Amino acid sequence: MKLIQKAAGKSPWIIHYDCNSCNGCDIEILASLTPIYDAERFGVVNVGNPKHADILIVSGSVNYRSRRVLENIWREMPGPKVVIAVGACACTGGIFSDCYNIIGGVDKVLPVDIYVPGCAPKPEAILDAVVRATEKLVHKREELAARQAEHVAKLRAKDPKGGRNAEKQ
Amino acid sequence: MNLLFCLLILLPAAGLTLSLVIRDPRARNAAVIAVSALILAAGCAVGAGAIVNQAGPSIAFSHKTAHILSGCITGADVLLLFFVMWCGVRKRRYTSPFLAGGQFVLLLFFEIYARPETDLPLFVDQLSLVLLLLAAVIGPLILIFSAGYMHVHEAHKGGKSRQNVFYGIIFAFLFAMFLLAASDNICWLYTFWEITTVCSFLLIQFDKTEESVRNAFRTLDLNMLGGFCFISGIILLSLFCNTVSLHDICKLRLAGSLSGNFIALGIVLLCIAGFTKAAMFPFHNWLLGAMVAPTPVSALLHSSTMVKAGVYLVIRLCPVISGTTLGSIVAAAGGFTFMAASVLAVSQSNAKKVLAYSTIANLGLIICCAGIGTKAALGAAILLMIFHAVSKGMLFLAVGTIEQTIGSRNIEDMQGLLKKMPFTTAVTAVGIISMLLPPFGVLLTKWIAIEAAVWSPLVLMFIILGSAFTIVFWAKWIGIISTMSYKPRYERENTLPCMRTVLSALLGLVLLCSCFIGFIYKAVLESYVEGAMLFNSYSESLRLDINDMSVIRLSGITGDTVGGFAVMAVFLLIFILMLFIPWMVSKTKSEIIRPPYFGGELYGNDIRGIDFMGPKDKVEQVIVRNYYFRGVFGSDTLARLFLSVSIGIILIMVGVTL
Amino acid sequence: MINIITIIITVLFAPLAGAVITGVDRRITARFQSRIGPPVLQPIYDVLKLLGKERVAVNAMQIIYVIGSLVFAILSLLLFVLRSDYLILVFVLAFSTVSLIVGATSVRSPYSKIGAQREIIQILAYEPVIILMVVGMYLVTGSFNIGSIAEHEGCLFAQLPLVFVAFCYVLTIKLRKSPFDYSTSHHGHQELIKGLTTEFSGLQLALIEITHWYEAVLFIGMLSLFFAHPLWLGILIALGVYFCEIILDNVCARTTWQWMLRFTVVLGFSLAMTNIIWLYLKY
Repeated sequence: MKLIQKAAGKSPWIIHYDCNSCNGCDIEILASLTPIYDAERFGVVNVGNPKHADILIVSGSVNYRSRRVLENIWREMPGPKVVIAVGACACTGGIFSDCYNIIGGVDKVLPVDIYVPGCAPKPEAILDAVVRATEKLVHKREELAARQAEHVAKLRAKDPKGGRNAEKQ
Repeated sequence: MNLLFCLLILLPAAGLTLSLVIRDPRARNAAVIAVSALILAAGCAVGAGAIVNQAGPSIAFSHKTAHILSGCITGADVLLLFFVMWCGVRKRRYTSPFLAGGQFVLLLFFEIYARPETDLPLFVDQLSLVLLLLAAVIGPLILIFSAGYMHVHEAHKGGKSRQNVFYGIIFAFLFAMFLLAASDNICWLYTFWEITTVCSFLLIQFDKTEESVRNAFRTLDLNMLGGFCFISGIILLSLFCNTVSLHDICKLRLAGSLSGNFIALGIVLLCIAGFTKAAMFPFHNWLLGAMVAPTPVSALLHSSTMVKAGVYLVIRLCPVISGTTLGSIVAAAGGFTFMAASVLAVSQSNAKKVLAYSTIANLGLIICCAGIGTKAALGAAILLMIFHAVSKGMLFLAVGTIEQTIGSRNIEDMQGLLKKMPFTTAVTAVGIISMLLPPFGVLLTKWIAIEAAVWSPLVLMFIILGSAFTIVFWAKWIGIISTMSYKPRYERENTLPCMRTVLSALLGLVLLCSCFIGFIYKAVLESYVEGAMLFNSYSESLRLDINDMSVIRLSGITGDTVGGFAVMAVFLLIFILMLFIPWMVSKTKSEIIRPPYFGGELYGNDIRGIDFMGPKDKVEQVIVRNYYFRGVFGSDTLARLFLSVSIGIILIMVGVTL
Repeated sequence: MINIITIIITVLFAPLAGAVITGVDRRITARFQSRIGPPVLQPIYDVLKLLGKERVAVNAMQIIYVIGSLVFAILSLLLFVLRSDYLILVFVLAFSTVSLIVGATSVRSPYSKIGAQREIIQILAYEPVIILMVVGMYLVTGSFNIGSIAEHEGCLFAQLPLVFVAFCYVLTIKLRKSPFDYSTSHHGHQELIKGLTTEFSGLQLALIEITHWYEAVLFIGMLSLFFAHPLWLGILIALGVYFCEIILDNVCARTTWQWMLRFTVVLGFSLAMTNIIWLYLKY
């Protein structure tokens, strides 16, 4: 159990979604995966599949079209999961924040855990955010385990047959 | 014992009369089911008796009676040939009347010039017993199934009910099969052979559509060709060996050069007759056409009766051809059919066609084993005959049930079937697994076949390629039927109880056969295999050695083990684990059901994940289809290539004896 | 008794060995790309993390197929260690793959279904070659029994060089290395997302990873059979072959299935068949 707890922060797999960005941040994100910065040192893999991912990296401000996709991706990720908003647009909406089609920063839609400001932020900053995110992942994993244990215990008390219907929330 | 056996043979005749006489549909169905149950019981009793006594029933007639019976049977044959001619001429299709005429002339010649007698015209040994039991167990089950099926079938089709004729023909079919299995006199065998041909002709054109009539005539043409070869072979053998007893023929040994050897030519002609009936390439087309018939007919033709008769004849001749050039060619022909049919099956999306190709492939494998002709191979051939009959009968009936419910026999339409028809889908899945994977019988025989074919690279190549393609088409199918979206609320199937019972019975039979493969081999087949190969030094290199219920080995000459298979219990354990572990896990941590990933373009909150947002914000349904490789494996060029190669093999087979 | 100990040791330690092999694989790949790469134990961290994730599934049956795949992979490794029949081992291994394929197609997802179809094509490509390898070993040693094959005097490689090449080639397909990683797509962000494994997450994905570890150990074993005397040499050479696979993985782009089938017929099947034919003529 303790090992699993520890491992939760050891292999952050990321999925990257470009909401509405000018591609400046995206290039920096990819740059942080290149040999020069080598994100895989921390176990980072760009999996491109929300079902496998732990960290959702979003660049660009959210508009009315990209909101649905962003929410879809977030919903399909199994917990514990973390959102990183990369770049000024993702943090607040940036220079586009007053446009008619823009909702705003990512935090208008999803619970953002880590903000990486900058236009565009440096790869070092993005890597730093990912490493911070691993700490958050461990924390969230603890919460999840506690919640699950509590839930199963409650169900066992109510229904001795076991927690078959647990967590329908 | 003999009495029981007579009863078994006479019961279908009673069924035939009853089903034609009784007009009231309810009463007739009851009669059909009752007679079928009786046949089943009698068949089981005969089988059990034969196993206990270590000998099958045999009926001897006085010389005079035998003579009269022979006369009757020849008369029946002549009538049959005239019936075929009449059918063909009436529909202006002249191939089969022409062949029937040819057979008539040969039959006359045979009656006048060569007419040796046998002293034991009806005799059941272990091999005949297998064929007899297959027909006596699966045949009645199919009849009971069709009591439910045909009702719905005719309701769909409309028009006047002709079910009484349908049951009548099937009973006649079973009658002919029982006698065919038991005949030792090869002339009698020939007559019953023709009866099965005509019965299947009548059954295939039962729906009277244009397509079914066309396919029925194709069946008739090809099988009449086979019959023609058969009677020619009989004449050659009776002229040059002076015997018509099948057992005497099996004691022949082809020694020395085959060239100019008329006995060898006779054997080849008998083999070709077997090939036509067993739908081997290049004669396979009739079996593909036969699927237009109502599904119980397909099940009957494919599993226990028609095609198995052809295979039976070739397996009978296995001791004669084993170790000769002829044996190698038969093995190559069988192996080639196995490979070609498996390749062609990959491009098919029609479930019944896939099954038909798979039948052809398996028959090819059986004949291939018979051609290889070691003890292990012979054992494998007979075992495969059993396993294939049971599994394929079940699969056809399951597909028939599915077709009646969803109104399609296309595999692509079977997506999500597990929800709609949980029981039938489970039956189908078990059927597919039993054709494909360990620990079921079909795979075991494939294993033995590969190990026995080691010393003939060509045959080996055919078998290996064929078995790889087999995995492809079965895996695609099982993938489709297991598709489901979430924790479904399973629907209750409303299949008729008799159909359900038959499917469960066959399911049980499949599992039992695979569990007791060792018992079956030891109790029924071992003495036959040993006896048949007694005088054959070639066959010593490998033999099957089955110790108890679950252990199978192949032994080499020196008796050391070549390979072993002792895992029935292990597999059971694994299947239990596969169900038990998820159940355990779900106790501690439950699953959250989420829709599949569509690149974030999922639409709506439906957890089944059916819709996605397409271009121009249009909501579209997700449709995923299988690959069929129609361009590669479905092309006419490939089919034509296979056809010409197989014709070449048949010609070579005849050629080596000239 | 010895058998039981062997079974326990295999079941417990084979995945560890497999994990280390996979970890080293990732490390070497990183070195090829002049990176430092993840820790050697990274695959174990990955699996532990996956075990700790929420259980998200598309349907309730997926997990059953995944466990089937894992258990049959373990069984085939055990058959190898217990020196059973080689052909049976191949069939059991096929069962493992088919189970995974059924799991992937049981989901109404285009990515995982297409991945499964491609996996089926891969079976079509490698299954004949593996069976031919077994037959080749029989022709040389006179036995299908892995024990007898391992105890055979003399080097199998000397008799079966072409079969060995064909098997190495086929191993690339079986290990899902480039240019044949087209059923699961090792590197994300491609047309197939993660192919076969797209819809498996958390616990299921962890089990699939463990299955891969068992398979890796099994393949090392199968390779080392070619050089069974002395065993350490065989294992060393097998690891060398694995290293070559990694190089190949790094220098190749992905291919299409048509290309793979055509190439397998030429390079895999024909080579192996040629070898079989000359053995057949020799004995």
